[in-house]
Amino acid sequence: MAKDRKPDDARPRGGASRSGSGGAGNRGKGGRTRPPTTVVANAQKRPWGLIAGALAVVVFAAAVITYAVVQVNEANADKVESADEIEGVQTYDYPGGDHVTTTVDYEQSPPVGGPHDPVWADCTGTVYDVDIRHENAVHGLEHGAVWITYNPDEVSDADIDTLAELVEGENGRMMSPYVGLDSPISIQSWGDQLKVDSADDVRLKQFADLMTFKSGDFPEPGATCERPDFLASPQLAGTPSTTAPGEGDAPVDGDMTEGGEQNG
Amino acid sequence: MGLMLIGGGLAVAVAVAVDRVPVTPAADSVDAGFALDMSVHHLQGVEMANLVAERSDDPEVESIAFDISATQTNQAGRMQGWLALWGIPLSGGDTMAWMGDAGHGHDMAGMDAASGALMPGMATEDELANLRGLTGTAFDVEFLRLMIRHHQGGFDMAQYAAEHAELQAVRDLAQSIEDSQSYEVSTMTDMLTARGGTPLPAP
Repeated sequence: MAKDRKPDDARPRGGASRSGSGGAGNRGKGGRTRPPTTVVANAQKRPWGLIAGALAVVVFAAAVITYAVVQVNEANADKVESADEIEGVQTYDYPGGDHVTTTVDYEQSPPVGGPHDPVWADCTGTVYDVDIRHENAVHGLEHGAVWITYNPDEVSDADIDTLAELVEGENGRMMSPYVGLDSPISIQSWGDQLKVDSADDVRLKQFADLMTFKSGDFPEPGATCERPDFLASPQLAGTPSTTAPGEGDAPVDGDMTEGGEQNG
Repeated sequence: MGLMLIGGGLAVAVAVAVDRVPVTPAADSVDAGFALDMSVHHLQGVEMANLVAERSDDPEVESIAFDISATQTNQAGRMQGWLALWGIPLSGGDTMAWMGDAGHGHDMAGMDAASGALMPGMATEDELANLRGLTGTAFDVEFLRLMIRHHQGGFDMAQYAAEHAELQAVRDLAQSIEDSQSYEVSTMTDMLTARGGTPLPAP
């Protein structure tokens, strides 16, 4: 029924090329094997041409498959298929978060999930040069983004360029300095985090390639990273939400226990 | 040359045979019914959300509407893509039949499950016309009331598919719709309360 349709579709194509080229092969072989086969009985017992041809086909097929496998393996040398395969990744379990316009005291720093601002940080391969508001960044993670952060006091301009190469042109990624970060570099997605010391650490690319919009690993599949208003005017860490409705005008400074981050 | 073609063809055939696990849900499957009905359900959500930009001045409402519009447009596209691959037409199905008794149990008063009937939580034409005529806070309140009920209706459909669909990809999407519509309902209910509105009865 429906199940048979796909293999059937494929078959005529394979069949056509097989019979077409098979005809060509026989003709070539015929030229070589036919003259000596005036002794008919002999040829029927040992069709060497056919055996050699079949063998050549099998050998060639094996070579093609081996070549393909080797190529794919080389291309995938650094590729990983789950976060467990990347040494040092910390995993946390966060359900989809509530929207809040207050400041949030997150468990992890940088945060990897939890309540967040109604506005998500633009994460369309966006390289920020400011410490963006963490509550907005978390909403970007909820949309499937990978967020690279670095301690501006501990990485060089060259390092920043190296990190930016992982982000620019890659929808679903963003990057920003993070004042007070406890390691030179941290990369995170919703519920996953890896802290590394060097911008050249191969695990950064592994993490980014694996986790960007990773199916089943963030709450809102299909959500967009586009946020033109945030991109035009990024909100800064330690400032109140711009989404707060009238009644929420007084930001809850008392809730904020992260020392030294105000007005960062 | 001929040998190369044969060998190449054989290599491809072997690779394809090893790789291929054909699963094509039938038109009356949970997978197909969910994809069909949820994509229609989603697109009404998108239609309502797209009214917000011109009618609301509230950044919080505008933000959640943008989020809903973009996300549900994308998800509806995924589901329509599946249906195209499965050879199932995008219209004319037996609405909500795939949920069996569970679907009928949630029918809104006076509606049958025949083609064209509104699915749980969907707004009527009158409700949509009324919404289009509003602006400002009155619009925000009515939008949130309709969208909360819309999400609640979608929640039951997603929950059923997350449990009963055959394909992992379908179950995964259904599960994330179930989860995200659940917390978006609580977010929107808070927003509605903050704007002095009261929710509609759940579907």
